Amino acid sequence: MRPTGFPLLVVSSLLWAVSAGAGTRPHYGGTLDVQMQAAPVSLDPSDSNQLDCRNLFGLLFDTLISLDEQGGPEPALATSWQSEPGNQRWRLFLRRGVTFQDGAPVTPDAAAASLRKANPTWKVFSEGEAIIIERDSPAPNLPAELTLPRNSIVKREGGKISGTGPFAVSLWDPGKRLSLTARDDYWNGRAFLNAIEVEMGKNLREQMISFDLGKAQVIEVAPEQAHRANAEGRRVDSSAPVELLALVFGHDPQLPDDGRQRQALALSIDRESMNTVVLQGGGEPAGGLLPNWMTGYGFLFPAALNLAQARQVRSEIPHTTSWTLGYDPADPTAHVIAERIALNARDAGLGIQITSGTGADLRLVRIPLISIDPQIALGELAAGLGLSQPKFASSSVDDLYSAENKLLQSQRVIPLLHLRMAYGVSNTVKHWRTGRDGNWRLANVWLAAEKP
Amino acid sequence: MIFRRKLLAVFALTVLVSVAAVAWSISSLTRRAFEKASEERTAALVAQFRREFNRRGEEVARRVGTIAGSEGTTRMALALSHGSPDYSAYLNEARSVADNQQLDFLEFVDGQGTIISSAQSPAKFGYKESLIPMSAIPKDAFLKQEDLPDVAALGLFAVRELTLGEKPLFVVGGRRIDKDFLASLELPAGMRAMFYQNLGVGFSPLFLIDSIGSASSSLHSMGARSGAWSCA
Repeated sequence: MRPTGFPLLVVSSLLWAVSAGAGTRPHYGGTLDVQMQAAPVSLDPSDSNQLDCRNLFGLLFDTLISLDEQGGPEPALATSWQSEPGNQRWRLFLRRGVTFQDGAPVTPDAAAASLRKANPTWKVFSEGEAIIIERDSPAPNLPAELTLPRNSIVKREGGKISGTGPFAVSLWDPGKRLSLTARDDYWNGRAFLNAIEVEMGKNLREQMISFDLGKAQVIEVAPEQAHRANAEGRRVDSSAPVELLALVFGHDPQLPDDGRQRQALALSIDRESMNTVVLQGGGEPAGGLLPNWMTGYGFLFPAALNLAQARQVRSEIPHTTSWTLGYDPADPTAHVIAERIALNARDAGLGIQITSGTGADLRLVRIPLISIDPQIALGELAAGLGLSQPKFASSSVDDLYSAENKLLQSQRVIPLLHLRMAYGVSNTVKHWRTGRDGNWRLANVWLAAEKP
Repeated sequence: MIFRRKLLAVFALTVLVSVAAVAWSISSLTRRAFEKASEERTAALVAQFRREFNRRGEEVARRVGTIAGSEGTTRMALALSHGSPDYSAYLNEARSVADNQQLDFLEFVDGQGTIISSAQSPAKFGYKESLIPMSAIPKDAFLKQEDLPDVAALGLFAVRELTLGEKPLFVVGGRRIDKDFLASLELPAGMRAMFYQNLGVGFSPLFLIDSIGSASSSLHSMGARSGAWSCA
């Protein structure tokens, strides 16, 4: 009998190895199903009310400059840039051969028009192949500012918008559904994914159910649920702490006693318990506006509970005011945190009544940090909190610290925690990466076949 | 003529006195009958209230006992016996159990009176439950004022103890005594019961409730013609 079994075994082993290898190698194709809480009615990135849609904007649009993982500027639609002495006038050189979703080329005129729409106070125009930006005052941080989603290059024509991003809109049902198709002619290389289906307006519970049923491959996970979701065997990817949870007063302190009462409240809050118990370790206690990983000096702003000092400060106030604390009634965690703050305040002898209505003396707010550049993040944070814009003489850490300290000295805001952004990601999604800023990094994402 | 007039006057006086005497005696008898009926109805209502109160108390005690004997509570007591509790693991435990057992209030409290998990006020973890003396736990249900984040409420509570090892775990559960409780009483026609919750320092009309809600407005419109009775 001839030994025919051995060659057959070799061939079948090789075939198995090839097929197994194909399953673990990146390949093109597939549709990524994503669900999110936000329900935007517009896809225009210059709309400032859509901070929570920045990941969508990243799929559809590009900025002239982007930030690398360390927060340094790197070329995107602009290949290079330079400033004239004084940093008031900047010249940016546009990448050639880039087209909008509708096929129109990206010209310096189109880019300038897009930036003018997002920044009406800037003077932006084209000069040959370059885009010129002139500011009223020195803007040494302009490259970082150009990385903000609102400064994406957008073509607006007849009520339609078109971007240069890796995906093009194939279906848009405002506030409900967005279908995206990969662009073969994307200037930075075609994405591995063929398409992305985004379902909007889904609460976190609905998202988790869809995820467990295999109807969604990427979902948002509340910071307080991330630990549990992970413990239950789900794959959860988190950002660095990039969302500020804070108490914001409606106005500056009117009297010295008002300021002291605010100081007593800040000292009485047990942020550590709030983080470890209520948020299940989903963040970090915050004494400053910017997280420590971003600035390196966050520890200089005390975040620890100091009840003895809070009582001491309270005892120096002859007559305290009872405050109302407003919170978002749609957020059950915010309700518990507001209750905890009221209990902590009572320990220091302060009266706080929580309310889900409007017109409260102070409000519990969550504001995402929109950039990993600390100066830009602080400026955007100040705008979001209704504080005066910080002034920077240079890009030094000393300047940044002074500006942040000045904002805190105004006693309009009491930082509580910096929260992480977390995403539940299906095991079929390969090479998924959440940036430190919470942005999706989809360039290398590909889909593996689902195991039966 | 004089005699006839005198006779008429005597006759009229006699008739007047007789009518007045009859009217008075009828009025008196009627009032007494109404008062008796009213007293009987009030006594029946009080008895019904007591029955309902006791029934609810037994119901609360039974549910709290069920919770104390459950597997989840046993696990919590075991964890407690091994050291200081991890509050984060139990933040929503009490609310979830309370929902299952249809209780309005539920707290898990350790031997020092520290709240481990609270259904009515989840943010109270780590704080002391000061209103119940853990050294002398009442066996029967009892009334207790519960300070909620926005308002104080009155509840019918029961406490059960679970001891595994050296550290006891107390289960404190209860149900609200409010308008729903009043609505559950079946009142005779024309009778209305109101309830004063003694939750403040002085009298407040807001704490006077009937089966619909705050009775202060309706009491106003009634001109306080119906009597209010209090318990607590």
